Amino acid sequence: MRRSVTTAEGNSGAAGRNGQPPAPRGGAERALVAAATEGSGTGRDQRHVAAARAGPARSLGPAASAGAGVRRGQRRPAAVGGGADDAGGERDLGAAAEGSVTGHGIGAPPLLASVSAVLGNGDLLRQILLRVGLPNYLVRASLVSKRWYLCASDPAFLRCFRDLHPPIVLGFYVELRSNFHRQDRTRFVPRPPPNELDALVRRSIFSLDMGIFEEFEDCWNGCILTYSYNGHTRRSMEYTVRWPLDHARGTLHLPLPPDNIGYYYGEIFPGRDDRLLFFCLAMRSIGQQSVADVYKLSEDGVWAIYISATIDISGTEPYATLFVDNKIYMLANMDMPVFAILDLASTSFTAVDLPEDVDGEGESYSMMSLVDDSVCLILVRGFQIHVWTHKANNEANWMLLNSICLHKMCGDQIMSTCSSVELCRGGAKAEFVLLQMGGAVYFLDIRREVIEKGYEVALEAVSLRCMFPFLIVWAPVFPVIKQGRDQKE
Amino acid sequence: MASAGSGDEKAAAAAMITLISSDNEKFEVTEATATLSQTIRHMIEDGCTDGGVPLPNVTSKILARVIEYCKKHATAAAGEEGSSSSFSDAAFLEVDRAFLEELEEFDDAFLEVDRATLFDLILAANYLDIKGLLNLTCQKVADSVKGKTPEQIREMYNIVNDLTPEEEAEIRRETQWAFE
Repeated sequence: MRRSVTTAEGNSGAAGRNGQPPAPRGGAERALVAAATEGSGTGRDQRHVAAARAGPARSLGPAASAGAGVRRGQRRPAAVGGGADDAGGERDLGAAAEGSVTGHGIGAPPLLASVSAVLGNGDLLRQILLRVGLPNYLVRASLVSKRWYLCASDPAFLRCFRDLHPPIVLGFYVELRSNFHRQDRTRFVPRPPPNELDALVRRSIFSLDMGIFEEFEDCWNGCILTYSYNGHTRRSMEYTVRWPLDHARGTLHLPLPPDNIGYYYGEIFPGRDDRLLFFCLAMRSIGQQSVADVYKLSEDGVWAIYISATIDISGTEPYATLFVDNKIYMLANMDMPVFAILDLASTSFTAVDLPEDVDGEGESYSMMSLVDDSVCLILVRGFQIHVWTHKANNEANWMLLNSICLHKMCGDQIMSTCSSVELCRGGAKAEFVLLQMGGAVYFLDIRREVIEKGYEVALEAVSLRCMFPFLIVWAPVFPVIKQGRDQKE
Repeated sequence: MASAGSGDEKAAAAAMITLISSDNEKFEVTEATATLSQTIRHMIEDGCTDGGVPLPNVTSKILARVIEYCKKHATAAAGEEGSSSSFSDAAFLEVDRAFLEELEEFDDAFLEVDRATLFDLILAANYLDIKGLLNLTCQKVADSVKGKTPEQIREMYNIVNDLTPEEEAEIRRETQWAFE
């Protein structure tokens, strides 16, 4: 019943944090600006740092998180403008077909009228770019011209692209709980990539070269977040970001998370669609209430309080969390499971009813993900996996999306050796989940209902501490550029 | 199958529509073929197809290809509808698969055209609102872009790069992983 006890030692990514002390003390170290990069001898890194120091509007230095947020805000109107432009383009198609060269600069070599009519039509260009299939192809195509870039970086376009081409799982990281081989605890288990990604996978360096006391924390958008205790005090805890697909980028060290003696829980959230934006959730108790303080990493590398909100439940310690669209969803276990939503925009912190038969009995290793505008709750109960969705703006309205019986799927042979199932991570749209059963990791494709064995714990390891799927970068980070005059015509 | 409804459908299928290309060539097609185009479907629903449907944006050369596509796909659609009531599930799936394979072969062969024709087909598919044809032709162009560098794509389609060097450098810095 008291799941918090089980999950504190559990291997679920979120649950693993429960065993970890809350945000560390020591504001003095905040001077450690986020700009520190490993291997700063490379030209690229030096440019980053230089850009951060000079502080131009478009600086991409690692400390540019707040600025990046502003930039993102600016992108939306641009996209709206693009949409309007497209609608016009569509209506004018007849004229365009007769040889207009919309969208191509004067001085361009002569074009086939039909080619320029198609590529100059925002809607048709979008139709073409939607079909390039892989995010790396999209990124390359985006650099063709301003028109192509604005089309490819439009958030609405990116949503469609993702629906058509769910990000590919390149493999997963497993972290072993081993007392003897601390340095070699993290392994990357690749999944066979499609041929088109061969080159990308070959030049990526998946080995993380983690420190002795470094542990996996999160994995998103091609980035990996780890934390380490360099010593025995919380004061020396450090969060690090790495980019396996872009090794030359080096590593980024985040400043120490904010601290308060009363915090019983702390967690860092990457701002999903911007790899330099980070939030920190820290929780404390006041009487029968729980207070959530959310900090945002500012441009100059300081954690600044962003919002603070209170809920009438004491000691709400989340064991599963999801940060998306400016909301933090959390599952906590009091006497009963509690599902709470912390809305950063409206500063509200409210509990929402769970599906009727979710009562905490025999359930474990839940996690959440997002499907379009609804939150997905993946829950393991015995050998059953249930996937629920919850409309983000519709309170307490759950729908059972999928129910999978592992016995039926795996056959008794596998199942007879397993005593329990632990859920690790699912795709953003609950397309897959990683499961741990009997010392092995299984990759379950929920849509196709196919399960495959991915990794078996070797003898020297005690057990798996956690595992994280590693997906191709999605969504690509597209910095905001100025919209050219010809785009507005 | 002898219901009044299906009788009407047969009558509708037999109805002919005249399409007139930009160079004034007339094409007579069945309504089933013509209504793969949403644009023409709406015109038929509005009852303004008497005396032919002028298509000032589509040449006879392209219209002939578009009609070839629609005929094939209209037949396939009709075949699928017919088979669903008269075959068992397994047999239906078999027929379905055969249809799909045949259609795929047809589509592949259909796309063996020069670049001007391909882009003209996209414009026609967009103007006539024929989803399948638009998908098919846009995919062909997308395939030509896959795996290419921005420079190669610009060269292929004679596109001038109007991104400033600073902008390009900035985007590349954020998306370096996607490049060789």
